[in-house]
Amino acid sequence: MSDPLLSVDGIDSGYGETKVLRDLSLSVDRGDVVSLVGRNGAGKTTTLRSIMGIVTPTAGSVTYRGEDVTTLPATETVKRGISLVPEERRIFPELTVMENLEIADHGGGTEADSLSIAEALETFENLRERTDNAGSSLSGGEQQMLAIARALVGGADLVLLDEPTEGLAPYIVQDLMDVVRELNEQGITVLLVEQNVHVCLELADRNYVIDQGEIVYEGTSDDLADNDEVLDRYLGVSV
Amino acid sequence: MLGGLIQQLLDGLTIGVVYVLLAAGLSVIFGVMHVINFAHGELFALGAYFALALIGPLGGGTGFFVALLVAPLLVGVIGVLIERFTVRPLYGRNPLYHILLTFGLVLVINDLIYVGWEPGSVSMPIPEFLRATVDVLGASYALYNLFIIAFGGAMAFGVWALLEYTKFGLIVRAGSQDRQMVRNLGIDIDRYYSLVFGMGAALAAVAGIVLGGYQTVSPEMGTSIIIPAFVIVVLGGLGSFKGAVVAGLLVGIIQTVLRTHVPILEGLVIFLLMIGILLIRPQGLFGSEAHDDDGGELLTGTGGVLDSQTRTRLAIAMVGLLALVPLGVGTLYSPYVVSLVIEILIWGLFALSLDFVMGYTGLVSLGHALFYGTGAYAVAIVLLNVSQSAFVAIALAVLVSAGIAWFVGFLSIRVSGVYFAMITLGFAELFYNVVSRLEITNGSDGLFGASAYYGVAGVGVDLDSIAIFLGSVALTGQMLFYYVALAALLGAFLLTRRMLQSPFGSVLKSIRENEQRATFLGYETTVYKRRAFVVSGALAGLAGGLFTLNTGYATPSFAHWLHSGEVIVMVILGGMGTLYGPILGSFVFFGLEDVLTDFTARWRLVLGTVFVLFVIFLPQGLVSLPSQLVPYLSGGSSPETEPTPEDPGFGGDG
Ligand SMILES: Nc1ncnc2c1ncn2[C@@H]1O[C@H](COP(=O)(O)OP(=O)(O)OP(=O)(O)O)[C@@H](O)[C@H]1O
Ligand SMILES: [Mg+2]
Repeated sequence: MSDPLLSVDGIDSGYGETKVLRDLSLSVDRGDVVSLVGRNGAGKTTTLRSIMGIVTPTAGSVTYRGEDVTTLPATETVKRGISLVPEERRIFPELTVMENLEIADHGGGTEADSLSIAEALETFENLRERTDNAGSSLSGGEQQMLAIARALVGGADLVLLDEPTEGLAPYIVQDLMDVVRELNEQGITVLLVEQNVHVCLELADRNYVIDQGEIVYEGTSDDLADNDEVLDRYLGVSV
Repeated sequence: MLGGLIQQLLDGLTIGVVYVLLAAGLSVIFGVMHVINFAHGELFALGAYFALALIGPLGGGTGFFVALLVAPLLVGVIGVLIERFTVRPLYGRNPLYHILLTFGLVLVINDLIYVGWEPGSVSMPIPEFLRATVDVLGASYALYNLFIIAFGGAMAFGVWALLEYTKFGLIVRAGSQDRQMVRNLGIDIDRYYSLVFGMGAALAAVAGIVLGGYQTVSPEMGTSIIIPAFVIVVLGGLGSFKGAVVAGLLVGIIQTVLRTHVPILEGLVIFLLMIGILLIRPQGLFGSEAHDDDGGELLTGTGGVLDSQTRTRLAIAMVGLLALVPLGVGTLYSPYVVSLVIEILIWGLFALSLDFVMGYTGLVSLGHALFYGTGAYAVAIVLLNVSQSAFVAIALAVLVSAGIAWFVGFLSIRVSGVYFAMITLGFAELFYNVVSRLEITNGSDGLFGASAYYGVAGVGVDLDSIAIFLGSVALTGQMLFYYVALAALLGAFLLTRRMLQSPFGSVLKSIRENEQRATFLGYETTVYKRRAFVVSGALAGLAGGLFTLNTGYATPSFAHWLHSGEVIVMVILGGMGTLYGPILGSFVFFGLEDVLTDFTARWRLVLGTVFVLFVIFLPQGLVSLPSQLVPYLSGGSSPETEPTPEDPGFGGDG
């Protein structure tokens, strides 16, 4: 088997005095959808931030396409093809939809050529009529779509999605899952962070369960779906 | 009637356009870098002076236009250098440090102007053809006014187009909404900071040149325009270009109209507007909701290297030494030394009062001179009109200052950080403008000749008419007052120390460290902050009151923003968050001033430079110096290379 696209090996990470992650390892293969699922405050966002270089791990390493990116700042990791779609979406509220895409459009990525803005608007058709509207005028679902589109325009090969379904109505969650599937078919690799295990089970090839900064379970969606103990103990899903 | 109105409108627009140019730069700099640039006014003045220098040899015709092009470029380059070498090291720290830094730069640049040019105002030669007047609707207007409106308008339009239609502008706009996200998209926004700062500086220079041709050029033009410029930025919304344009024109017109019709209100209305806006809608007319606050915490003085017993002994020795000062008059030095140390003690008290809120609750008051001024005026008014009893006057001064502090705190403590700083600045400027106009405060001349006796109800002594003999020394007048000031400072020190050791003090400290956590622990943090603010205001009022008690006068300058800035300088110089630090800061400040004035009239330049270096390299102040030096002195090597037990080299070399 070839090397994984992304591999996180034994990282410790946190914010100053606060240690959040302990000896955390995970890997993502090219073309996969991998999920990282866990409760509030388990350390999911911190894991993504550590991969991205917004926080720097104090031990361990992050390797992307065989290159050590542990200490690179976010501005550099993006250029190598990793892109974070943050939990709060962080659309620029006073820029138009078009401008939100334009600012990300500067080439980058290595494998799949970055999506042109026109192509992105094709995939995210509900954004098409709203290109001149301010980011703040979009609904939550539209903002989520725009945040993903923005990452792709920026040339992402690996998208880190932080709780994309949070706060969205069920039918929009369905739309969103369709979009993720479609992108994955186009060759985009996804690391999906969720609290909602059902989304993970439907989308992911493999799942990691995180609790208190440690990976406590790893398995395929079929295995996880059958593992009542893990579901109950770490994810609070009664089965 | 109509002609007059149009005239006023045009005059208002002329000033308004100048405001727009200034405020646009300030606002964009704040939006992108979260830097409140007090030095913006000095860059404005520098633009005018560079233009003068260029017009000199070239003449007022083409020279003016050459200057209009070249001077802003030069100032822009200076702006880039300022950002690169002084502002840049401070990113990631609390935004307060940028306020402090740029205040230091005000002292430096302002004094440099005095070095390069004559004091006093001069007029800027403008091209002959712009001196003409034109007739509009039957009234005649100066062509130069129209030129300012057209040229300034075109500049503002150019900046707008740059922001709206270029990639640079897109990044700047996005950066003022969410800097981290811009970085997440792979854009190294830090690289753009110098450019943004330089652009703001160049715009300020343009404003300085065109206004210099309209009014006059003087070294004070920067310090007087910076506050209205801040008001505009706050009104329009910090970080909003559109806001700066709308608010700039609005304030220009309001000021002009008020000057003609209700002169008493000019200078008041804009501050009332600013305070009102901050209270109702802190983000201003066009600002966006909240700024991502990635500022670090305030760096307070670290515990010293001495144990508490040694400290207490040292403190007692210091007080003992201070108590001896008046005894040396006549033999060791002149009476001047006593009056200098009195000033130091009073400002030490003032600085201590500020530190009590700034260093212990993290509330940065940019208008603390308000309370000092209140105390001073209260004493002067009471002594001149009500009672000549020093005790009555001081008691009232403290009460009134505490009352005003309660009022200001009640209104403003719920707005946080930068907005709080701005609102206190607004209140202080309001006070400054009010006392400059009222009859009872004798307008801009201030009150003079207040004298007091120490006692109540007509029974007591006048310090000048008694003398206490200690051996061969006769203590009288100022020398006796010296002990009054020393006792006040000591009393305030002991009182605040006591308060900080009480449960009240522990809550204050936990607010400073982490306000959110303090809230979770169930403390009503606003209530605690308000109380601390009242104590602080009362002590600042005491300081101002003592000053007037000693000198007999009070002038509006007591409440000027430069006064508020100076007291912040002292707190930082000495060390924030320690009670003795600010007192030390006052000694160093006046000591430096006293020593430097013997050598040069440009002591502010030196002091400002020292201060700037402090903010960058020693933000915890002088009190932290020993603990930072100890590793160097004892180990003979820097802390980084100091061998540790795990280090194989440990103990090897000796
Ligand atoms: N900027 C920060 N500074 C200090 N501690 C933080 C910071 N951000 C997060 N933490 C702490 O780190 C821990 C993990 O947070 P993290 O955001 O990674 O969790 P999460 O799994 O993403 O949670 P959620 O599902 O709520 O988003 C939490 O205890 C949190 O309080
Ligand atoms: Mg999270």
